[in-house]
Amino acid sequence: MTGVLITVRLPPGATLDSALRELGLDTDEVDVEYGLVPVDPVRGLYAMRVTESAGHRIAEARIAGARAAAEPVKPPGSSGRPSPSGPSGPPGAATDTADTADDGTGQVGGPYADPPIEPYGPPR
Amino acid sequence: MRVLIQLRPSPDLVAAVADPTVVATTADVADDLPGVVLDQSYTPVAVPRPVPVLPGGDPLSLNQPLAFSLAPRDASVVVRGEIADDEISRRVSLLPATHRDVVAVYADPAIATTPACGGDGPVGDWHDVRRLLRADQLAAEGLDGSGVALAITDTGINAGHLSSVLGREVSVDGSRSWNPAGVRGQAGGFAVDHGTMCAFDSLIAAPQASLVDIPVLLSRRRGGTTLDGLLSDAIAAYAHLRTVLETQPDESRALVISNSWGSFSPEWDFPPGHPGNYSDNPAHPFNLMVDSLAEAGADVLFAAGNCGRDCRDRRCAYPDRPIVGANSHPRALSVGGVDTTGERVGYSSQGPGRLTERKPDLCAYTHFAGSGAFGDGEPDSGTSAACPVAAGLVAAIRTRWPATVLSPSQLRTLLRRTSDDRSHVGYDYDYGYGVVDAAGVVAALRRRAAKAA
Repeated sequence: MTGVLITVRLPPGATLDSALRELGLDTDEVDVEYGLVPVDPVRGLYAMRVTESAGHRIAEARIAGARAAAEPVKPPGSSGRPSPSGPSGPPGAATDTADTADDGTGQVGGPYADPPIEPYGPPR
Repeated sequence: MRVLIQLRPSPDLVAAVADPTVVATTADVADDLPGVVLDQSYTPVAVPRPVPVLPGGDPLSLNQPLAFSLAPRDASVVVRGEIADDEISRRVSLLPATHRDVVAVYADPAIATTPACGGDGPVGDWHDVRRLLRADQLAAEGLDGSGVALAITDTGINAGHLSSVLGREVSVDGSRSWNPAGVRGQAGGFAVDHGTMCAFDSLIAAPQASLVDIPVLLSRRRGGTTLDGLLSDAIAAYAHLRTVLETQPDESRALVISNSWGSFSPEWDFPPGHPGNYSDNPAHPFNLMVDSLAEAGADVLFAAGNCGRDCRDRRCAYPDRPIVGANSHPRALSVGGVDTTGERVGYSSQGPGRLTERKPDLCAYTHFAGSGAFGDGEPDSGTSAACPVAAGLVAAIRTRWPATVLSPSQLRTLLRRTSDDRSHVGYDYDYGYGVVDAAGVVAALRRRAAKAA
């Protein structure tokens, strides 16, 4: 799976299933074998590998949510918060304003790059 | 432009310069020369005059039998100075004409040795590295790595190969080792490769350390021959290592993590400035993990990389500042490479780093005959070897200085402060603060212990 990383803040004892429910993700959008990895257990910060489309969709949903929350007056009939499983945009479309993991403004961070890592030797 | 100025002062001055028991200075032999900034720190040198051996020889020809005379009436003296680039032609022609002492002005070009590059044979062997790291002195101080967990996050360790080369058993802690998802194999039982080299090199200074095998680069093989992993595997590995650290008693907390890998290319990364970027972003989850482990007491070391300007690895794709991501983390020690003569190897990445400007922090030894992991005659090379060499020194120190007594931050400062300064005075982007100096570290620790007592 070509993927990206996301981070999510969850209560102590969180599981991959609870993370999927929280984020509105299907199992085929997540690297299940990788699982839910504690980045900072004290602050309840976890990492997951997800598909690029899922990562961007989550970012868009969060941005839309943040914008809606920042609106002083909501238009009549507005639900105020988008669905976390809303439609995805083109790759990278929403990510330039994506959250970061530790700025305290949201429960979800990313998408983050998951580049290959290689040995530094012998020099080629 | 730096120049050498050949002078023929009075014979008594030439005699003084030629006499090794007399200290003559540039000021003694050269007055104010217009347009020349004389280097007063340079001790004048007497230059012998070629004299024909045969009677009637041509005094101007060098193509005949010659003797070389340092007699005061024959010899000349050389001093060093600098002339502004835009005045060089005029000054070079005017100086001999206007100052009768001046014989000629010559260029003084920079000279440099050719650094070791990939493909070059080894420079020295691991016994030399052991001597340079003062391993005997460390052992005499009780600093041999006993009881210290030394994690090698790499391609896995082959303990049998290590034992065979070292002629003794090595300790691989299976209970604290860990495999990424999908990787099969026992700790210490992986194929001989890069990780075995790293493990070998880490044991030079810390022969009794307990190796923790983390074959993170075996994950997610892409293609038949490439050994690589994904950064997400490293995040999972570090999550495991945090549990290792947290189960250690405070009074003996010691976990050293050696990382001889990195990202060669921005191709798979978001661009700098993008919040999901890794190379320049301290908020990337892996960079947070490094923060978190260092805070908890782990010593984290990263290879600086093999993208040095003299002979960079062909995979290097960052256009500049190739020490990226965690390899430039402020709470990690970024390790460049020098050979056993103390010269920087040409492929060792130069700073500034991306997360922190002052990277590399320091240098350790590489490009020596060691593990033989890549075959007979092939050196342990790359900053891949330098990193575990330094990690071994850190593990040796940790034998008696747990993280609760000497924090990772304090230890990094100690290593930087005691490094053998190279190149320019103070920090530079080639060598960092210098080459690790085990004797300096031991002396500093003794002073610290005495003060605490």
